[in-house]
Amino acid sequence: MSGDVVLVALINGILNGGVYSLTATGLTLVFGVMGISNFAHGSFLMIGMYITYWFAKLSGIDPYIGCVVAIVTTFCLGWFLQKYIVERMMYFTHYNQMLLFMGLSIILDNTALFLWPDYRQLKVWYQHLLIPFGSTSIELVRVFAFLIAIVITFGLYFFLQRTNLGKAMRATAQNTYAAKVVGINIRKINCVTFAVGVACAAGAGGVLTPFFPIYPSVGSLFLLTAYVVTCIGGMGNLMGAMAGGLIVGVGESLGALIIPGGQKAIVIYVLFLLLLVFKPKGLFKFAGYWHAH
Amino acid sequence: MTKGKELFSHRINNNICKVVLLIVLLLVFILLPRFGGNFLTHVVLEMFFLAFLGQAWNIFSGYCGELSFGHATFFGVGAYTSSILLMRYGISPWIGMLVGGCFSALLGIGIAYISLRYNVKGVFFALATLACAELMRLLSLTLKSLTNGAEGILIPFKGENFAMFSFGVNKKYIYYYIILGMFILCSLVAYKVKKSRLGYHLSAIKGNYDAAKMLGINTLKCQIIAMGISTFLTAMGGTFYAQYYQHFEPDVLFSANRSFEIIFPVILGGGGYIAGPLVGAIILQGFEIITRELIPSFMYGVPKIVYGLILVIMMMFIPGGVVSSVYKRVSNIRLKRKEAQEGR
Amino acid sequence: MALLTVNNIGKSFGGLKALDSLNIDVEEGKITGIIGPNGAGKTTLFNVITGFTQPTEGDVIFNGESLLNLKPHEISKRGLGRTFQIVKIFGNLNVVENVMVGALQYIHNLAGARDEAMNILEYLNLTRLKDYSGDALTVSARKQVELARALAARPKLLLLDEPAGGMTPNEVDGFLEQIRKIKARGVTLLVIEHVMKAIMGISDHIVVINYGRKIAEGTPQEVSTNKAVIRAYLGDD
Repeated sequence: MSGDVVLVALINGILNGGVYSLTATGLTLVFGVMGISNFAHGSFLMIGMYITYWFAKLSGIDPYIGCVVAIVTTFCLGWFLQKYIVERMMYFTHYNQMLLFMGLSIILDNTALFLWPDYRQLKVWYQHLLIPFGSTSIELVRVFAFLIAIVITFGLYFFLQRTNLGKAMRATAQNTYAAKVVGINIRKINCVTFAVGVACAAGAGGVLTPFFPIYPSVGSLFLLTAYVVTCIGGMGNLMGAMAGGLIVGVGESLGALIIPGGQKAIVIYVLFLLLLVFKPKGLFKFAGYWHAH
Repeated sequence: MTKGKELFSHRINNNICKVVLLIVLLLVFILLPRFGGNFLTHVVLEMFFLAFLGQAWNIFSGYCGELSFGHATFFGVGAYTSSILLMRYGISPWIGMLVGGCFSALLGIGIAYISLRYNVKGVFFALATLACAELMRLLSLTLKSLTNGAEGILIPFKGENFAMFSFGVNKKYIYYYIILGMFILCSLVAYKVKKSRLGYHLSAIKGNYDAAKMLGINTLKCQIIAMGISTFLTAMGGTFYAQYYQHFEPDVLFSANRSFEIIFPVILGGGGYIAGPLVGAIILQGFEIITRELIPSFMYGVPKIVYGLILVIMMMFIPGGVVSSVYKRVSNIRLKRKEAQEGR
Repeated sequence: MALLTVNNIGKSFGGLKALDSLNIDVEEGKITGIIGPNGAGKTTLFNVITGFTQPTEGDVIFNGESLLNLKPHEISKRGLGRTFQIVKIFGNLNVVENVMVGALQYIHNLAGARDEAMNILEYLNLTRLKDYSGDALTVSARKQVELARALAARPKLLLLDEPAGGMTPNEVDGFLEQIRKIKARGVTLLVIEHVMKAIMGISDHIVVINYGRKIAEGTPQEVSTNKAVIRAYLGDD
């Protein structure tokens, strides 16, 4: 195996990792602030993919613009769902919450299955542009996906650090009761948080469209990946999600070189199971800016 | 004195009603193939199949509250074990069923032990079991020499042979009686567990984990015993599937969809109750049959959307399932009656 | 020798020392109370004693045997029972079944456990509640059932974590009655409590904890006039 191939796998891993980071950031944000585990997170990624796809297909405008549309639309959808459904379930048992989100993801996935039951692929003019690298090359669209994902993630980070709303969200994450006492409107924070969380997933889906196949159950694959990332980074830990995403991306990519038949998902599942048993709170010692509930 | 007698006869009446109802139901189901025809037999067979798998799942997840989203793992292991033993070594699927059950039980106990010992609970347990099922699916696609990969295994029909669990498509009623028998067996096991010390321990674990520990309950031991029983039975269902449908592949056995199919009837009917899986299976199979007729094939996925809606609405309003809300209403009425009698 | 000896227990969570060189003796047959400001480490102490967490230093001796590294259910089997600050009733079972779970620790058949449960409910005057579902009870009723359930497990020593919390004065009186009945059965009690009327009224011996350290102990009379205790509760002046 030539050094180039390994190096390209490494780079692709990092590029994929950026997208995983963004996906996991949404998941971990919701857990950190609201204390709930959004089992339907993958379905929102799928929604983001489809919105972007159709926007690009129907209007002919570049899908990265469509990505923005997807983010905004999913944000609104998330807000609506949180306000009328999730809010009621906030204080139920984890059993009920899990099943509620499962139901939600079944509704979303099967609506997509009903409407568009096949594999689709978006076609853009720059799709097959490659950056040459030694004896192989790297797809330009993957680089775009990585850059956009990183920009969004850092943007989110600064939003949480610098703005009042962001600070309110961090306060709610650290101590919900105290936040209520100082006058923070927890309901509104929950709506914003959930909306932002699922919008992250949609954004990740959007940037994937130029090179990843689009099909109704694509969400479940990314859901598990997002959970693996949060296991590495720690639930509720934003920077951990960033680092974890890159680690998972690289691990998956390098693993694909070793495992026959290209079933690289095996790496993710085995990694997940090992992490759950040995280090469920994440590999990093610091709790970051969030305290898990 | 008279009040005592009243309450006493009330309870006797209640029990007699339950027993009579059960006997009537049993008679109906036993006579069904005779008078119902092949199609109805197949439909009710599928319903009992769902109920059987659901009851098996119920014994672990319904009783102790730890949701397994990956029971398809054990279903598939059962199917593959008995089928590989049959196709390669000519071993009877009845024996294969027991062997598959043992494998699954060991696997299930292993998974439960590692998870619960290392505090993998709640959402993480659900995800871990889901990951196990997916891993199984990928493994069976990869280990082609053992499992035939994506093609799956085809069990050819070699004539009617009871010892070889083979009866052919014209004798569906035999399969029907087998799955009916299996469901009754499974429900008896569920009943025995529920009305035992283990059953109370499991209910305590579901009620409150820490409190259960502080009452001398070895939560780990109880849960892995329940898991072993549950996975053994689930694997038996896998063997039945293999013999009835005579063909299967990894996607059909280990998919998240299969796991969902196993647990949804129980969630709908009511987890933790013995009647739960059957009630849920009846409702779902009924719905399934109606939609199969009414909904044209291009509207693929629509029934599932309804299932999702049902699940969401249920979780918001009757999270305990149909049976639990009925029980609650009945016990509320009884309590009110008792309070009125005592002149409150 | 004391029934329970907390021997130089220390518990640190990272940099935070929750318990520091604690030495407590619980005499058999007596009621020992533990008081102290919020956050003093009282529940942590209970968690260490009952095996929910292991101490970083020291040892817990019960009936001559060390409880270190034992799991909660093993400790329960050795005769230690516990109730919780946030009441942990089994909402999915009715009251009789709740108490039966306790009785099942020693009685292995259901009929016997049911009889024992009914006996305990009757002893504690709770028979009227027997058919109510756990989740349909008020907090005060739940606490009483939790008490009955713990008693059904035949503990030699019962740890109560703020049992009178949230009770009205009437309920507190009823609760004190329950405590006397439990003591009459030969159960030793170790009670964390904030409601002064309750704890001062029934305790034979009181230990005061602040910042994880014992700052005073003695009879209720001695402790209520102890300067260090007053300072801990009311602050320096």
